[in-house]
Amino acid sequence: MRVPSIPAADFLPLVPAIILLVGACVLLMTEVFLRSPSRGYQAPLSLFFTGLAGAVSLSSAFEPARPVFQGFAAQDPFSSAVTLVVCVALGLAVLTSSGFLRSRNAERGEFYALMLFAASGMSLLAMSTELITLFINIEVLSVGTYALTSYLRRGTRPAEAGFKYFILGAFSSAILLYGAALLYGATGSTKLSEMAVVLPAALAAQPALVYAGALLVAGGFAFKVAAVPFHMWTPDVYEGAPTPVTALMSAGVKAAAFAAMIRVFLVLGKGMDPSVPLALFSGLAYLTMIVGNLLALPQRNVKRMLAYSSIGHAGYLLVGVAALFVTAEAPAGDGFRFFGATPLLAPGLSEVAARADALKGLLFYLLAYTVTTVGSFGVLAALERSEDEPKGTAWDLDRFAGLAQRRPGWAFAMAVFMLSLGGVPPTVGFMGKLLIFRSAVDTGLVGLAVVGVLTSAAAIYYYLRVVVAMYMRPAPEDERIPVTLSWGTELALALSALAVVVLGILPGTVTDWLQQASTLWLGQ
Amino acid sequence: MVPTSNYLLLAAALFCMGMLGVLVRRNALVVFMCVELMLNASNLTFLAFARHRGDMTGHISAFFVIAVAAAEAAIGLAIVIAVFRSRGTLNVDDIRTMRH
Amino acid sequence: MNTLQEFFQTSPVPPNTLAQGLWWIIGLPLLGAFVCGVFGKKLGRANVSLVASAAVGGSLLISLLAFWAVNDVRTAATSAYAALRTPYTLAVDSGTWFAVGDFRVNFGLQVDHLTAILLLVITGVGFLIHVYSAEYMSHDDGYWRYFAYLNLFVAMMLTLVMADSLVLLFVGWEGVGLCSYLLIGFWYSDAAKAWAGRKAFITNRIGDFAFLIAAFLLVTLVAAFESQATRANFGFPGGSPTTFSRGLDAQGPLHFEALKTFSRALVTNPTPGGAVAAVTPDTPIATGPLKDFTYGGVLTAVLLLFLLGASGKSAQLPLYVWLPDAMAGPTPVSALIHAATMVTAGVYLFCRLNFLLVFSPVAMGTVAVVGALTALIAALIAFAQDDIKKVLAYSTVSQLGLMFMAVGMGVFWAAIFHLVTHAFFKACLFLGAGSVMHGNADETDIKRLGGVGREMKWTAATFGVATLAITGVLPLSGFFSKDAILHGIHQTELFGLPWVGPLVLRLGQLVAVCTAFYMTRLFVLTFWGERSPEARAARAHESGATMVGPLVVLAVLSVVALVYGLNLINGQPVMENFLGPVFEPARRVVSALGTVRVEHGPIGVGGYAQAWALALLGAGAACFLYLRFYPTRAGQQAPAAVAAVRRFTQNKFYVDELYELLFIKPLKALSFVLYKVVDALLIDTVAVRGTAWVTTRVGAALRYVQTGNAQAYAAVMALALVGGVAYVIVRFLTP
Repeated sequence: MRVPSIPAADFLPLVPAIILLVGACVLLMTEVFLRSPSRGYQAPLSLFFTGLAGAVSLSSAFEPARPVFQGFAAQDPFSSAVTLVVCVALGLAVLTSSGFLRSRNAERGEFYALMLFAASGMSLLAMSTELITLFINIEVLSVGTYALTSYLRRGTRPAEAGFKYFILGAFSSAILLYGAALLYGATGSTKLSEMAVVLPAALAAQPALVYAGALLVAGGFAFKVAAVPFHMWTPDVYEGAPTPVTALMSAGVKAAAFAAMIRVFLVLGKGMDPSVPLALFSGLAYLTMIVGNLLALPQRNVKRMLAYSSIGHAGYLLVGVAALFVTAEAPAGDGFRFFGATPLLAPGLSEVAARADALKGLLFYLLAYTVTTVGSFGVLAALERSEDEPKGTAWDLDRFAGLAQRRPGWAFAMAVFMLSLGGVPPTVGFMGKLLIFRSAVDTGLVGLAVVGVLTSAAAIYYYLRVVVAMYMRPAPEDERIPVTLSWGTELALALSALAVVVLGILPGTVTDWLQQASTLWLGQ
Repeated sequence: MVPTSNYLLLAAALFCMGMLGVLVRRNALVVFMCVELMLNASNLTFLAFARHRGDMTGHISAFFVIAVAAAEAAIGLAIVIAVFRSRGTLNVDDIRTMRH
Repeated sequence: MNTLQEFFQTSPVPPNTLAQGLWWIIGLPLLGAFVCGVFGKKLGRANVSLVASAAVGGSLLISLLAFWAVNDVRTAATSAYAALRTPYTLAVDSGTWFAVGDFRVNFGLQVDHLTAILLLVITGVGFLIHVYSAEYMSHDDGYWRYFAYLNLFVAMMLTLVMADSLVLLFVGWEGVGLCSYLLIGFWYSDAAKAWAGRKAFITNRIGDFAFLIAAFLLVTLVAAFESQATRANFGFPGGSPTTFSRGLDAQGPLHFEALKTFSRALVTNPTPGGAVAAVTPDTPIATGPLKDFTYGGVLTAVLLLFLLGASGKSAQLPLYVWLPDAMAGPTPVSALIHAATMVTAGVYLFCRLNFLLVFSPVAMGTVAVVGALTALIAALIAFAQDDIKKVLAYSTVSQLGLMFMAVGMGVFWAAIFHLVTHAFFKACLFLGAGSVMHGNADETDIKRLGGVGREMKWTAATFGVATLAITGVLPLSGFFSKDAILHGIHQTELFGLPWVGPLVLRLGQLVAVCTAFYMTRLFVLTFWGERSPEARAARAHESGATMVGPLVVLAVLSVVALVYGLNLINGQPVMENFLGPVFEPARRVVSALGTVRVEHGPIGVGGYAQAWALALLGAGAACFLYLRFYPTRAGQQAPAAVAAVRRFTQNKFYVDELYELLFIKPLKALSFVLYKVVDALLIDTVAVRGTAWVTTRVGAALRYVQTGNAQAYAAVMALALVGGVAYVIVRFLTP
């Protein structure tokens, strides 16, 4: 057997991930070799590597799609866009971390190193096109986040959160792996490109094997993106994890997992009746939107509320995923029916155009959700006092009472984030919802769009409650705001609030870019 | 020669046992071991298919999975120890401060 | 006369130059909001009010120029959707805002006659209210915040009326909602007031989502039309399918010109002997998610959804409940937002989309009936209110109902006319009420006022003028606008729904009587008679010049606005002639489809007399009741009579009781029941709180599934997967 040679050019797409890995190692080394007690340089250092990785992925965003490492991974605009989203999430999370950790006397190089390791896993996951590579990258990002979740040693919460996340995460990884094994058995390959070729034959021979495998793989992904009914870990883990880590998890992990899920199911969907993934993702989207938002309604704990709301947002993203699988003509046989009608594309819309639209909506929504949610967790991180954490009241709605008088800047930023999460114009959240619901309507998924609109109307209620608390309730007398101000937190809040508003009013440049990237990737 | 289907059935049985174990066992360490059982059931499936098809991919996959499982074990044990240190118990039923 | 006409029809600034400057109309108040919001604390009170007023004042000046320019014959905008020029329209297109696939939205503004007149109302009344607020809010700590919100509101309202597409209009629509929410809850330390703000916001959101769905449907409809229409559809001057498609690519389907071209192409008749148009309102849609519905049917659905949206913003049934509570905000805010401008957005929306509304007699009839019922119910509720601002709030709801009636019957110009006159006199009334509160230690209960007119002469005089105007007494503007509505309705018949016109007309006349009654009652109880023994302040004091000034200006305006109602130009009322070009597309649709039948005829002296009699009936009844028989006043001013006085007084007392029993009691009971059942119970409790309660309960129940036990979580996941796998096995392994 000839050992295949790997062209040097195949390593180019890995550069962002390599930069992140090198950065992680450098930060670990600073702990070993530099014994200075001051660690203020670590956040800027991590930021430097993050920015570098983001810049590199941006520069390669318009290169045509090509497989690398013999089809184990792919370099394409899609992976670049996801890497960019991950870098944005990572950068903002790092910025909020420094002040957060310093006030808890817990700033260490390994924290940033773990973040960078996890981010490299996310970046690589977005480009994996082979099931085992995919599994390994899921584990890389998971192991990093398991450790980050239980990083703080105060009280019982971090350890409990880490334990739940670990057990359930490993459980879901095992399910995904078993699904991958079944798919391997049916098709004889683990590379997506080769599976696409043999899938029709495999389906004819062993439909149950393929469908069961696909279902288990979908279950594994559904866990990572926190889709109902695989969502139950989310509130507990998000609550227990250090807030900057929660921010990274809710934005970065979600983006990467969505990317991998889309990649896998676009290939599987080509081979099988596309109405099957359509039914699967529509069902998940319905459940996730409704349950996520309903659960968030009674929450007074803002951190948990944001966790449940992140489930709801996963539901909106799933609407976009479902829209990827609508075809121009009704599939033969008994396809998926939707209130008695098979959803079809709007007239004059080609399949590639519709998918590019949906994909653009998804990527934009991911970006929108990232800047908004990381920002809101940033406010939360700035506001919480370490001595409250063991009691679990650190994130109560009362902590926000009268914030507008005491910290008008933070209150304004938080109000902007809440409005964006609720989808009120002129924020980026509104644009994201508009794009997603619009492609749902275009693809005939009107029911999903209607439920989406209704649930976001209900969601306004709990987002607005925070705004009301900040602006319309008096501050408690004895309250004190932690004075551990750090430039990082302030900068992160300012940047995310600015991004939320600017992208909400002038989304043109970014949507044009994402449109190009999506068309470039799908039009291959 | 033992037919492939027997291996597959064994693997499926192991997977289900692991899954049930995760759901019903109370000791965190045992739960963790059950997850490992599930991973190994996947491995066995990979190997059975690889042998059936005479393909190397499945064999290689198994090695990777073993390596990943080891890494996971390391972090998992660390977390289990952290839980024990903060609570003095490993009963899964007691690890539920955060809920609702 | 000709010289005068020429003067008004020659813009001092070239229209094209002015079009480029349109953004400044929005930009100035936005800048003002920014300056007040960010630097307000450091600037000091005087500077903040100066900046805010100057910003709106500057806007007013540019608006005046724009108003002038749209009368210029040189002014015309090129349509991207057909090779023709829309006369009397200023337009500026600032390029792509965003594009989703082939769906595109541009940033663009347009000013036609309709927008121009609203620009003047918004900036004019807005400017006066800014000036008034400078004194009214002078003691408030949140001074800078108030002016920042108020400027932001003006900017958003201007965006709403100047938008050249539904999307930008929606930005303004949401923006004014947000500002209204912020200003209603301005005194947030009071829980009830904060709740009022939230109630307004939530009620509005229901409407907003209907609006969004309607807009989505319209996009789909236009796309289906684009693929289905043939050349014969575009058989009007300048029309062609390629131009239309190119226009859609360049400016998107939600541009008003696009919708206008769409409506025109939809009714273009086949030329005799020529090709037959492929698409008419009765054609089923061929492709897409709306397949097999007819174009006309979908349009009706779109319009009904817009009606729900409009009834949220414009406080119509069933979403009107937020407006009376919105009076929690500062009074000038009530005057500007909840009387003169924002609440009329729904009326504006339908006038803007006039060419779509006339497609559907069903939608028109619904709009008219909703308006009429709202007008009546609100007027009846106003009978029982003792809070001066509450009376005015219900009166606003009622007057908005009148405007909806006019819109629904297709008398668009009269609706806009009434909108303008209402803006003047209702702003005057609210500011007057504010002045009364200012001078009476913030007392709002009219039963604890009385006799204020002696101390507050200016306020009383202006309030009186405005009361006469809203009552519809002959020489004032309110008379002309209300009569234009009723007369227009009298002349109109909706195709297939002949009963709507007469019904609405009778209801409208009833509303006119009621309006006269409660407004007179309000005026009489507040300004006449003796000072109530329960009054908070022993003597009222007149407000300062910056408060009285705007009152006087508004009172004058509510008189001189009558010019619009006179038949000066071509035998038409000025307003009808002025707005003619705006509603021309609707007229074209009507003449093609025959959805509305209009019998033109001048308003006779009989009509005037009837209207006046109605107003006098209501006003007279109120005067009679509250001046002569009102319990606390009775006996105090007993007429100096002779021997039989005593008996007469007793008799009077008896009559009083009888009145109380026969008229006031049932009416009060009715309006109380309406208030309790419709307002408080049905809508407030069942619709708003009920929905919220149910969803919150479900959420609260669901959260207990979240037990905190990791194994339970795993079990849920496992169950879902096992269910899925079982389904796969049953589906694919059984033959």
